[in-house]
Amino acid sequence: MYPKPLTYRRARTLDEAFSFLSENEDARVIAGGQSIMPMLKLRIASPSLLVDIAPIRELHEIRMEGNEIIIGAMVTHREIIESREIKSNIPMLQETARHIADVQIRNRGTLGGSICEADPSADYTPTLLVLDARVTLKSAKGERTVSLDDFLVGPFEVDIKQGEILTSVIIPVNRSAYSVVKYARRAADFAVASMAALVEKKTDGTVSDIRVAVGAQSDRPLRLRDLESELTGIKPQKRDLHLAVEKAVEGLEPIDDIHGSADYRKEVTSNILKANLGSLIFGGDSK
Amino acid sequence: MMKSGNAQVLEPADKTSTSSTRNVGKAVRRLEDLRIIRGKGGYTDDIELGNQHYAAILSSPYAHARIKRIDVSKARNLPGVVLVLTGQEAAKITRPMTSRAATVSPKSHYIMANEKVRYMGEPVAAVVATSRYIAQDAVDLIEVDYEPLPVIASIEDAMKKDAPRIYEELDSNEIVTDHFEFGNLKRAFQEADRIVKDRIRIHRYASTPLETFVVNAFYDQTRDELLAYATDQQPGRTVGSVSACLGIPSSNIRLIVPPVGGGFGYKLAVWQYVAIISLLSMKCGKPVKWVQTRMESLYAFHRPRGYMDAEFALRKDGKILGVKLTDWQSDGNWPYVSALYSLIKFANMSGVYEVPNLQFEYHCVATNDPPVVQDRGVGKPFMAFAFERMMDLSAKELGIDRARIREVNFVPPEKMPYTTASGEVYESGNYPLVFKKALEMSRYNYWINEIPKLRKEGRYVGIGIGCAIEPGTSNLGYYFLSKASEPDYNGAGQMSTVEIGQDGIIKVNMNGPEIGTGHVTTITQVVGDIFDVDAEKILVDSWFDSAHGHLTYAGTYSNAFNDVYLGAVMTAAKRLRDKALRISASYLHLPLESLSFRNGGIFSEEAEKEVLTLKQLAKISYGQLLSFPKGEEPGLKVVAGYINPTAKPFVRSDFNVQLTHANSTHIVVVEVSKDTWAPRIIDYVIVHDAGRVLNPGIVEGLAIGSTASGIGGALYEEFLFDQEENNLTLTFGDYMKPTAMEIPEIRLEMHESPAPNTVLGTKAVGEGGAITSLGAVASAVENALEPFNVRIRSLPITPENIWRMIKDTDEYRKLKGAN
Repeated sequence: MYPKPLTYRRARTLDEAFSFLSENEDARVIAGGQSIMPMLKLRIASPSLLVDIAPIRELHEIRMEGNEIIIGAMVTHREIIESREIKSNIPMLQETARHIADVQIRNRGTLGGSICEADPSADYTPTLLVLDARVTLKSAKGERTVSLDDFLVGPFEVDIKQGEILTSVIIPVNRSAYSVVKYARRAADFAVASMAALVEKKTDGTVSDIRVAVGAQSDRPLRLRDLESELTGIKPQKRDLHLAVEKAVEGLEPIDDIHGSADYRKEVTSNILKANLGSLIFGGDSK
Repeated sequence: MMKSGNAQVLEPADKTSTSSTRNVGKAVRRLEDLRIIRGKGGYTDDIELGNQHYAAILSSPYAHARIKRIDVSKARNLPGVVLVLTGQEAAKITRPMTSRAATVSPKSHYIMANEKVRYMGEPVAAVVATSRYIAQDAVDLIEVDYEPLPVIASIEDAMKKDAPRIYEELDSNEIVTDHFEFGNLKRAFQEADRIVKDRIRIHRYASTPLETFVVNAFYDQTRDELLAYATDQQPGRTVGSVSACLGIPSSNIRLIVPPVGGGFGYKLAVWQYVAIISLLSMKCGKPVKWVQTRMESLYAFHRPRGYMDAEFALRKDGKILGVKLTDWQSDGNWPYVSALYSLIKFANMSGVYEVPNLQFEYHCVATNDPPVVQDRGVGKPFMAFAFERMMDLSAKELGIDRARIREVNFVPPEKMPYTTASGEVYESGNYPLVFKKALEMSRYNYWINEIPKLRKEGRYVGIGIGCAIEPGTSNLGYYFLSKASEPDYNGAGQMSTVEIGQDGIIKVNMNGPEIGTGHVTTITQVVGDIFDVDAEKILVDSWFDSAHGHLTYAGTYSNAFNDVYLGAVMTAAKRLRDKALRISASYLHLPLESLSFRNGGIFSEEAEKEVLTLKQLAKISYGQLLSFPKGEEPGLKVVAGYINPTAKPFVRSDFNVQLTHANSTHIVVVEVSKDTWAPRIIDYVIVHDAGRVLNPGIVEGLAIGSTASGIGGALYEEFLFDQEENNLTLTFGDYMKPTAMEIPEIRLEMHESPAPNTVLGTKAVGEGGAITSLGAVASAVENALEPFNVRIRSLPITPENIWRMIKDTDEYRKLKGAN
């Protein structure tokens, strides 16, 4: 790869990283490098300074705090797959990570890097949206916590200011029945359509909590809140589900590109939502 | 995930064997692999010459534009830059390219764009700098004013009466057209019970070798000699082409090809870049290295897109009486190879079937599509795809089973060797038997019964058949069929070198590039049998060096290794063996007929023991000159040539484009998802006949690998362009090359019909999967979609394309209603 000339600095502490970032308006943070390296290679991105945050120890931690798991920004997809805490407390996240790209990318790519890239077709974000995840952002001036839903602004655009670093992701423990579906042409591709859903039912079959998000169907991953409220508090019939899905899908404005036209993405999203929400709500194969 | 089938895997040297067939026929593990796995394979990019400089190339962002002005001053002034050369400057000091098969040669077609650019990615200027990074920075500083011209994005656009011309000096965008007829078409169509017609399309896709184009060239101004290293599949021709383009005598050019990381035909196009980089070195006096980036490698040199109008005249039992074909091909803008695809395609068009009356017409058209190259199988994958689609359609229209219609039409084994209507000679084969085995292995009848039941359960499952020949060894010269002049070369042969070194090691160089297809292992097996020695006594040098003997068109392509390279290696080896025995007999004063190579040394029947080691033999042959028989030359090195004896000269009424014809049947079972409409391969069966098999492991690997490339073409890959002919697929994120995750397990069985016209009875094997698979996969998907009553006429069969085909059908509406 032949990027434009740039300076590369490794930060050993967050404070050091903040000071490097303040040196240069044009600085970019590099985490696992799985998004920025291809952009440097194609000269789409050409920051004059790259600040590598890999050596910062606290960014690699996975820890429980009360009923929440805090995952450091530099935790790799592979570490998420292998973490016992994540497996027993948010199995849905582990399942999501298993389908990201390929082995090499899972070994190097990070949770924080993926979220900051904000690709509308990325794998983590629909899952993290239904899990009601929050992100912690730190800078020399202080620290703030934002819900992921607010953090994601648009395609490749997040609510981060120059000088800020996303340091961790906070996820409430959730062991509800879930469904994570990624449809891509090839195993290692970005999704053409994806969905993540959690369903809690009462013993009589009434849906007490349903959360659904889709990826690759808009300029950012979306929670389908109307669909959720239509199906909450009732014992939905198949017809209710299908009508709710069709209504939700009708309102989408999916990506339209060579990997899938908007119409086709709607077709697939509708089909996978019906099939997989159906399984969660009615059990078994209820297509 | 790929089964090793019935191939037995042995260690390189089987020490228990003493016979002279110790190696051939066994699945000897590839000798190359250990080196490659340990990272010792090496890339051409690893070679650094003293005072190495680096090149980067500016590519055109437009598909069709006039170059109004190029300002290179900023680039030239960048520290570290030693040369900036524009295409316009290059055109003044080079000769234009000439077409090979086309009847016209545009005079404005140079190695770099001159007055205008004709495809997105065409080289416009080149930079030489002290580092690759600086060279790239300098490329970004070159300012070009383009005046966009109307883009010709299709054959239809190109053939419009007032269409702008890709080559303004030519009368038309149609570069070459021709018409051939064999037999009596009129009668065949009159006698037919049924005439079936359709238009079948082929899209743009390509092989994408791991190692891209690499050229490292040094023009030594003190000796006026050019030394070039390149990832080149046909270096013999490159020497001639570079010599003609740059005006360097070919004797002053030395071209070296280290082992190449994948050829696939793509590397037949590197010569243009050898010329560019050599020219840069001539101009700046430094050694210049250029490594093509992946994006550059995706710009150009693909298979051409186009379509074929086919008409089949059939008897009601399915027998083909006659076939009419009209082919339209967008050759992009590299008329250099125009018509090569068409002629190969048509010479073998009838495939495994008897077609007594055949007519074809072809049109090769220049457009703003990027250039094409002879990609894996050249026109043969489309030839088989179109023919097999027509076989399925004919079966449907006549109401007969798809397997049955093929059985009715196979060339019967008793007619072998069989000459087709146009003169192609099929040397051997048993097509019905290969087919029968495949039907059994795939449980064809089981699936035919099961599929309707699965449909009732709401599952769209289908089975498909593909049958095709795999022609190998180009009988060169065929590309002059549409021209009136003599071919610049014809026939098929190669030259190779075998020697016994001073240390007694047998050294072989096939004098052709090694492109990763197991030649080192296969040659070691064959030569091991000739000298009856273990693998560790043999050193196969896999570097091509033009300083060794080679023919005009030397190279590894057209699946000719098994035929002419093995022929040349064996000729040299046998000549060397005889010479060594004469020297031994004279030195030992033993009768010549009592001596033989046995078990790693020279054995005497009289003495009943080994009388010379190879080391002793070498010592005598290189030093003890007075013990030689009279007239014997010293040394133990032989350069020999070999010509396939069945190559015949070309006449338009009777021509044989290829000299061996392997064949295969592929049977595929797929299921189409009704959530995503993605087809998934459930079972894939190949029965393959590549003549005698020298190494079952290698043959199986090639058959499966080439099938993977066909599955890519059938289901995944396509270069996509917008209306302005901008290539939208310039990364592997966008160009859908399938990975190991997408390729199913493939079950393979081999049948062996030895070729009577090759030295060991072998036939071609590297392209078969790429040829046969397209039709088989399409047949299966179409069968799975039978309830929707749709026809597959084009590829790739992407999930979205399936959905577009079916979404307005009654079956789809029914399905949606049921939800």
